[in-house]
Formats: sequence, structure tokens, C-alpha cells
Amino acid sequence: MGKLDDFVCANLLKRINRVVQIVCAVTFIVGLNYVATLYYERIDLTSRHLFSLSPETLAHIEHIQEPIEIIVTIPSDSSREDEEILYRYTRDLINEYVHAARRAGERNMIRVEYIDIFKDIARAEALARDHAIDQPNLVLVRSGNRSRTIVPSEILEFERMRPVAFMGERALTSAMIEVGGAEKPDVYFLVGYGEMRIDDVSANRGLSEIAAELRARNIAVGSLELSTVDAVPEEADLLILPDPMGPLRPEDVEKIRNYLVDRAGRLIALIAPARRHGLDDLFHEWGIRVEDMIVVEGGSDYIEGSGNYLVRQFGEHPVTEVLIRNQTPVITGLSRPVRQVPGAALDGRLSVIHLLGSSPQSWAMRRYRDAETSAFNPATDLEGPVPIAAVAERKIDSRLGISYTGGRVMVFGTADLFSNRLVSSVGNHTLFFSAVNWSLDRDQLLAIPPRPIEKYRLTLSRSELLQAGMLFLIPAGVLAVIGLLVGLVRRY
Amino acid sequence: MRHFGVLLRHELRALFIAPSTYIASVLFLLLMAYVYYMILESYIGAEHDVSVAETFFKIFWLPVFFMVPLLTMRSVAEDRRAGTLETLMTTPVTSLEVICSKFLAAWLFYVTLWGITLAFPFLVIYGMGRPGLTESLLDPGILIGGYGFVALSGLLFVAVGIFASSLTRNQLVAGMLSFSILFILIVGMPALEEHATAWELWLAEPLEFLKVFRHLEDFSRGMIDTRPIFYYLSNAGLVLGLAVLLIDSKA
Repeated sequence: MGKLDDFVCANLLKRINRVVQIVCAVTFIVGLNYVATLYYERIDLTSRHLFSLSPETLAHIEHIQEPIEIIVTIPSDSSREDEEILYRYTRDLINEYVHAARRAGERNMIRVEYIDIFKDIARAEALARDHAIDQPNLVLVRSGNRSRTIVPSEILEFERMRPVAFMGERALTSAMIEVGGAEKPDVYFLVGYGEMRIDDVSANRGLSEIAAELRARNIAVGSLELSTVDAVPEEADLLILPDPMGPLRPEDVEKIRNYLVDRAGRLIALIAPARRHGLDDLFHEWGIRVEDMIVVEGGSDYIEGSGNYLVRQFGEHPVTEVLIRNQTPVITGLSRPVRQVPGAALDGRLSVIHLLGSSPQSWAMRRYRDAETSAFNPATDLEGPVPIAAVAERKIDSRLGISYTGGRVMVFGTADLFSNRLVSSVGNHTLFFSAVNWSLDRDQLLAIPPRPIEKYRLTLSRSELLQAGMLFLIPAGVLAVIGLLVGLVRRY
Repeated sequence: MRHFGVLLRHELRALFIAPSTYIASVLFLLLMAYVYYMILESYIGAEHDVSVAETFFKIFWLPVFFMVPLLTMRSVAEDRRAGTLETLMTTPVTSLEVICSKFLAAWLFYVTLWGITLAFPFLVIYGMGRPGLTESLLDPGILIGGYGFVALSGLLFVAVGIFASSLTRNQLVAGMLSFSILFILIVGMPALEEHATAWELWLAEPLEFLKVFRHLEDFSRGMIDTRPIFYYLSNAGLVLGLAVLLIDSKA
């Protein structure tokens, strides 16, 4: 008898055979599942395709060049309804981005990390050190050395303090375009007249914080002294004139005029009260008048504890859309009226809109240099609400009859709105970046509609509910009767 | 698989005439009716972020933990205890046919019971004449996804029950084994992920893939993902394969 015919040996071989079969089967199943995780599909059966990404987002994800890291500090276990919705909707959305990137063959192009800054102290400290983020409910989008922080007001739309719509996809895709975009817009801050500077870190006259954030948003930032150049540089996409201390020379004004008119340029000007700026004619051509007056605030609800004014009146415009939606005030110091030229016959191609306004109890005082006069004078003063910022946009008609943007001028009658001291305020921060995005046409990159936040509630009376409860007994009852009948048939 | 049809008919017939089947079914439907009633009550006078159907599917684990062990614990263990399994294996049937027929009969029964619960929203809408609630209670995407998940995950859960039953000749032990494995699969994985990711970040992704509740969340809101389909189908096949090997080795 051969050794293989031996019972013990044959039994051993059988066992080894089974172990090999099990190992092979497990390996096959693990491999199959691994392949399934690499090549998979997600099908959205909801009638309104609530979980499908928009074509704009999918197109962008397919063309991501550099890895993008998303860090979420929204707590997963919040008991607050808005935070719970914020977390759930944001998590689901980010998951779809990760899935889309994988389907596009970019397996590790989008990396996601969730950090509970109250529990994961070590990671929270690292986040605060590296990205200056030490608060919950934020989404940080990072690529290379560029980053963009998304705040809850960009993700959720509220109505009467309750979230009604989710705008996360627009915010997230927009942030990804900002940090990963190949095109880098150039923004120049004008210097030469004692303006606020981007390299100044002081609280009142410094603009270092907004300059740093503009760079983080993939925008090239530079200073420009008009007297040293023949014309505004070709690559300039936006000029910002931050509070000149004296009037601009006519030749410098002419350079700005040419830039605006000939090259459909964009200008944001901050003009503090009592400053002579030399831009009256230019502004007049754009239908805007900057008055030599001072706005006196009379409403106590519009004065902050530190003496600054709270602006709560906003004109309807893309720049103020988020502020209106979230009822976020803007903080300003002293301001002057900036309004549409009274009686100006604007042609159909030039439109002027008042962006910000003081309270109805305020007024604008013309004889502010006269220390003895502080009462409202109807003959010379302006009644509130007084507009303190305005925007003018010019359309150009092409030969084909298509209208496109010709130039944009935005004037604020206050200077310290975006200074290091005030720009950290949510309203001021939102206003500045909305103004820049609108000026650069960045807000029009995406036409992603918000998703409604579904709410479910039943309208049944107590008696109807009891009736429903009785009806629910029918299936069990029918089955019990069938069981009894089967039992009886078997027995007899 | 020539004899599979005969064996399946036999298993279904055995289920159809057994009083325990009806007792378990009635208990199951009473429990689910109570759960649905409580969910409806919670939706009256209070707003919720998820639909009634999504909330209903969230308690899928409750019937799984008691129905699946009850349904499967006697399938192989009882045959082995009574000695009928050995007799059966002397006939020209294979162990694969035996396991597959027992599995399919139990799975069909499980799916049928869940299918009957689809009557609840219809009873509210049509039984009470409240067509206005159709949108709230009968969202096709959610229902297809939710019942699809129940049927799909049921493949693995029932297979686990059959596997546990093939491990022992004691029904009670088989039931407890089945319950324990299902508990680990459904409740243990999220807990394991929570702890394991604290040690090793790379474990997060594979463990996330194994979370049954994550699959449910996707399916029950109308989002069909192909990965869980592969997961449940392939693992049900694996577990049934192991059961076949066990029958072969012990018969």
C-alpha cells in the first residue's frame, strides 16, 4: 500500500486541499472587492437628482492638475440642527467629489480629512499653526501653497434662522477653481498718494491680511505707482485705489480712464471723508458722485460698541447677495455719501446701483468742517438712508448685437472697511471678496443652483393615526389566518 | 445542479406548512407594523430631515438579528442532528445543491416578509384615502433603494445563518453563532473603524467599505452604489462555499 493510500495521509491531504480552497476563495473575493472599489458606478434614483454633481463640477474634477486636500472642521455629533445638516450635506457632497475624482481616474487627487477640533487636540493645533484655522464648521480647500476657507454662510442658506438650501457644491467647486486654477488674475493696488498698502501690517492703514488671502486664492497681488508707467499694465485685471491722501494728478487719472474705457477695466476705489481725490470727473463719467459730506449716524442699532457704524442697508446686487441672504452687517468708520449722479441721464448701457446705505435715522452733513453746526439742515444736507457705496457697470454692444461687460467701477465712501482691523469681521470679509470676485467675473464661473433642504412632516390627526395603526394589523392578520387554514388542512 | 429545483421546492414546501413559519411571520409583521406606526407618530407635528421610509429602513437590523437566526438555525443543524443529512448525501445530490436550496428558500422567505411591509404606506395612502401623502411616503427612489438594500444585504445575512447552521448539530448554538456573526458584521464594524482609524489611518477606507450602515444610508436615500452589490454578492458566495466545504468534510 502506497503512502498516499494511507488513511492518515489521505486525510491530511484532504484537509490541506480544503485549506488551499479556502485561501484561494478568500483571496479571490478580496481581489474582486478591491477591483470593485476601483471601478464602480453610483446611480442617483432620486427624482430631482439630489446627489448628482453638476456638469460644471464634473468637468472641473476631470481636469484637476494638482492634488487637492479638503479639511473639514464641522463636528459630526453636534446636537444643533443647523450644524447637523451642515455636516451631513457637506460630507455627502464631498464623498461625491471623491467618487467623481476616482471615476475620472484620479484616485488620490482629492484627499479629505475630518477634524473635530474639540476632540483631536494635536491635529487641531497643527491646523491652527499651519492654516490659522481654530474654529469649527469650516471647510479648508488646499492645493500646493494656496488655500481657501469656506464658511457656513457660503454653504447654507437661512430663512428665519433655519437652513433652507444647500449651496455647498457651488462653494466647493468655486474654491477648488480658485486654489487650483491655472489662470491667475492680476490685482494691482495703486500707490504714490499715501494710500493704504498691502505690505503694511498695521491695524488701521494696513492691507496685509487681504493681500495674503488674495494670494491664497490664487490671485497675483502687486503695487502699482501710476507715475512710473506709461499706462496701466496689460495684465492688470483689477485696480484697487485704497484711500489716496491727496488728489491724483490728471495724467494718472487719464491712465485709469483709458484702462477703464479702452480695456474694459475694473476699479475699486475707497475714498475716505474729507479727502480730495481728483477723480470727480472720472466718477461722473460713470454716473457716480462722491460727495464732500460726512454721514452722521442717528440710529443706536447702527452704532457698534467701539463707535464704528453698522451698515445693514444693502442694494440688490451680486456683491451684496450673501450679505442680504444672511443678514450680515458690515462695519465701517466715518463715511461719505457715494451715489448716482442726481438727474443723470444714464443711457441703457450704463447702470449704477447703490450698494451700501446708512440707517434711515442718519443724514449726510455738508458743513462738517464747521464745528458749530451739528444739526440736520434740509437745505444742504442729505436725508437718510444715505448711500455710501455705489457700483457702475458699462455694457458694450458688439457688431453682432451681443452685449458684453465694458468696465466696472465700484466706489466706497469709506476707507477703513477692508483694513486689517475690520476685515476680519464676517460682513467686511464677505463684502471685499464678493466685490473682487464680481469685478474679476469669478462669481460667474459657476451656475450651480442650490439644493433645497428637504423637510418631512405628516399632517394626520390622532384618530387617523389610530386608524392607520389598525390597518397595519391587516397583513399580520391575513398571514395568521392562512397559517391557521394550513394547520387545519394538515390536521384533518 | 439537476436536483436543485426539487430540493428548493421541498424546502419551500417545508416552510409553507410549518406552523413556526407563520408564528415567526406574524410576529415579524406585528413588530414592523408597530415600528412603522411609531415612526408615523413621530412625524406628526415635528419636522424631520429624512423621509418616513428612510427612518423605517434604519431599523433593518432589528428583524435581522432575530429573524435570520430563527429562520436559518435549523436548516442544516436539524438535518445533521436527525441524521437525515447523511441520508440525503447518499442520494445523487451534491452538497452545493443542498446548501443552495436551503439558502434560497430562506432568502426568498426573508425577502417576502420584508416585501409585505411595503403594504404599510399603501394602507395609509389608499386605505385611508390620503393621496396627499403619496410624495411623503412613496418616494420611488427611496423605496427601490431601501428594499434593494434589504434584499441585497439579506443575501449575506442569510448565508451567514446557513453557514452557522452547518457548523454544529445544535440549533441553539447555530442560532447564537449566527446572531454573533451578524452582530459583528452590523454593529462591530463601525466600532472597529472608530478605534482602528485612531491607530492606523490607512484602515479607515477598507473599514468604511465594510460598514453596513453606510451602505444602507446610500441605498435608502436612492443612491445605488455598485460596490456594496459586489460586496454582498461575493461574500454571500464565499460564506455559502465555506458551508459547502463544511458539509463535505463532516458528511
